[in-house]
Amino acid sequence: MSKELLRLEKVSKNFGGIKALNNVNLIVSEGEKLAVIGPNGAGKTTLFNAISGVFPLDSGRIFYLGKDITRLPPFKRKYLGISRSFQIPRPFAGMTVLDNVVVGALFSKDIKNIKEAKDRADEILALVGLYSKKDELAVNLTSPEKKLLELARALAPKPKLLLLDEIVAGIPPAEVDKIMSLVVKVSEQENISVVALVEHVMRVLKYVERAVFLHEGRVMMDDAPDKVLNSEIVRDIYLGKVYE
Amino acid sequence: MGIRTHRSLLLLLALSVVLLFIRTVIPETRQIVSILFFYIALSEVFNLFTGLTLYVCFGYVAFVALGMYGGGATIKYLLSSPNPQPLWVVFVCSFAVAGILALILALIVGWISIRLKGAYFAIATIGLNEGLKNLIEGTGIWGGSSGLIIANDLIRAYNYETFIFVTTDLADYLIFTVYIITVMCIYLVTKSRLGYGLAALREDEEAANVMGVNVVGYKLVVFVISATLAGMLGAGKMIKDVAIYPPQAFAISYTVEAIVISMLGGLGTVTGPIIGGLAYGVLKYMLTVSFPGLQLLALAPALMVMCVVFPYGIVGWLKRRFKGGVIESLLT
Repeated sequence: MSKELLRLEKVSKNFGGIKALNNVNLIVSEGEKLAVIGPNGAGKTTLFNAISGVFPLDSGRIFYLGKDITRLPPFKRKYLGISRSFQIPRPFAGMTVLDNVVVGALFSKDIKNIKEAKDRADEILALVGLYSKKDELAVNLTSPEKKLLELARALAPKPKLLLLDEIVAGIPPAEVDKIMSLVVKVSEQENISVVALVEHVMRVLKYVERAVFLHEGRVMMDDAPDKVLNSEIVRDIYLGKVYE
Repeated sequence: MGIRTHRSLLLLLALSVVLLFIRTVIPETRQIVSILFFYIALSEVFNLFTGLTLYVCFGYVAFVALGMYGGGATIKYLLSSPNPQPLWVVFVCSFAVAGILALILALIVGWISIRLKGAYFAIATIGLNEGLKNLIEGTGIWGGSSGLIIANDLIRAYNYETFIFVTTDLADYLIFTVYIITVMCIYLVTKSRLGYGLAALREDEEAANVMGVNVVGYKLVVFVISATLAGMLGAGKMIKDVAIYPPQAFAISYTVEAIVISMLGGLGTVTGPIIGGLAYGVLKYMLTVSFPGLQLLALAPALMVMCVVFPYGIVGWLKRRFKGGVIESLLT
C-alpha cells in the first residue's frame, strides 16, 4: 500500500437545502489514478471545489500529506501541489496560450523563476500538442484545444495531485484515447495522483485503477472499476437500461 | 537580457527626455509641458493599479492630496526652525513623509476594501476622497479650510531667487523623477511574477486563485505601491503650487482625467499614459484655442469618438494592428 496523499473526513457542503456533499470520506494514495463517476448533480464538481478550497466546508476535514488543509485558501493549496482543471475551460482569454501555461507553472513550489516556468510551459505545450499555437490568444482556440490548454495549465506546475474535471467531455472519441494516454504517461513519469471526474464512464475506465461512485452527495461505492460498473447499485441508479 | 528586450522601455524614456528637453529649450512651452507631465505621471501612477488589475479606485485623488498635505506640512515644520536644513534635505523629507502617509492610508483602505470585487471596490473608495476632505475641513488640521501655504516659508528660509527656481524648474524635475520611478515600477512589475499574477487575476480572479495566485495580496501590493507613488507625486505638486486648499485638492476631476488619459492611451500598457497624455493634452489645448469656452462641450464627443475607434486605447490598437512587427516590440 503506497503512501496516503489526500484524505477527506466526513466532508459536507450544503447549498440551501441541497446536500451537495454528504459526509464524504475519500482517500487518495500517492501515484494513484482514480475516477469519480456519477450522474449530473451528483456533487462531483462540488467535491473538486472542496478539495481545491473554493468555498468553506460546512463540516468535515481535509488532510493533505498528513497536514490539515481544511482552512487553507486555494492559492496555498496550489503551492502544496494540488492542481486542477475546470470543467468549462476558463482560459485567461486575453493572454497567449504560452502565458496561460506560464501562469500555471509559475505559481508552484518547484519552479523558481519566469525562465524556468517558460521552459516548463514549452515542454508541456509540446506534450499536449499545442506548441504550434503558443503565441495565439487563448480566446481564439477551439473547444477541444481549450480543454488541452486546461490540461496543460494543470500539468505545468508539476503537481502531486491532479484534479481533472470532465477533461474528456465534448472531445471527439478519437481524441479521448490520446488525451487519457497522455495523462497516464505524464502521471507515471512524474508520480502524480490523478482524480478524474467523468460522466461518461466508459471512456476513461481502462485508464484508472479505482472508481468512486458518487450519488446525491454520497459515496455509494469505492472499488475497482469493473466491480463498480457491474454492481447492482450503479446499474440501478446510473447506467440503467442503456447498459443492459 | 540585452538592449533588445528592453528597447520598448528605452523608447519611452527617450520620448520623455525629449519632452523635458523641449521644456528646457523653449521657455514658452514650460507651462504646458509641466502640466502635461503632471497628468502623464498621474495617469501612469493610476495605470499601475487600475491598468494592471482593472479595479477602479475613485478615491485616487485622496492619495495625491494627502501627499500634498504631508509634503507641505513637513516643509513648513522643517523651515520653521531658526537654522533651516539645506533645500535637498527638506525636499527628501517631504517626499518621504508624503509617501509614507499615502502608504499607511492605502494599507488601511486597501486592507478593508480590496476584498470587494470590481464595481463594489470602486463604490467603496468614492467615500475616501470626501471623507478626508471633510476631516481636514472639519477638524481644522493642516490649516483646515483656509488651506496650507508654504510660499512665505520658502522665501523666508532661503531667498526669492531660490523660491522661483524651486517652483518653476525644480518642481518639474521632481515630478519628472516620480514619473520615471513609476514607469520603472510598472515595467518591472509587468515582467515579474507579480505581473503574471495580476494579468491572470485581471482575466479571471477565481481561476487565478485556484492556480496559485494570492489575489488579495497581489492587489493590495500593487495598490499600495501605486498609492505611495501618488503621494510622492502630490509632494511634487505641492512644491510646484506652494499652496493647497481642500476643495481643489480633493477635486474628483483629477481622477477622472487620469482615467480618461489611461483609457485613451491603453489601460495596462506602460507607453499608454504618455501617448494618451500627449493626445489628451494636445486635444484639450487645441479645442481651447479654437472653441474658447466650448472646449469641454467639444472634448466629450471627441473622447467618445476616440473610445469607439480605439477601444483598447491608442497603444492597444497599434499593438493589435501591427502584431508581430517592430512597432509591437517597441510598445509595452
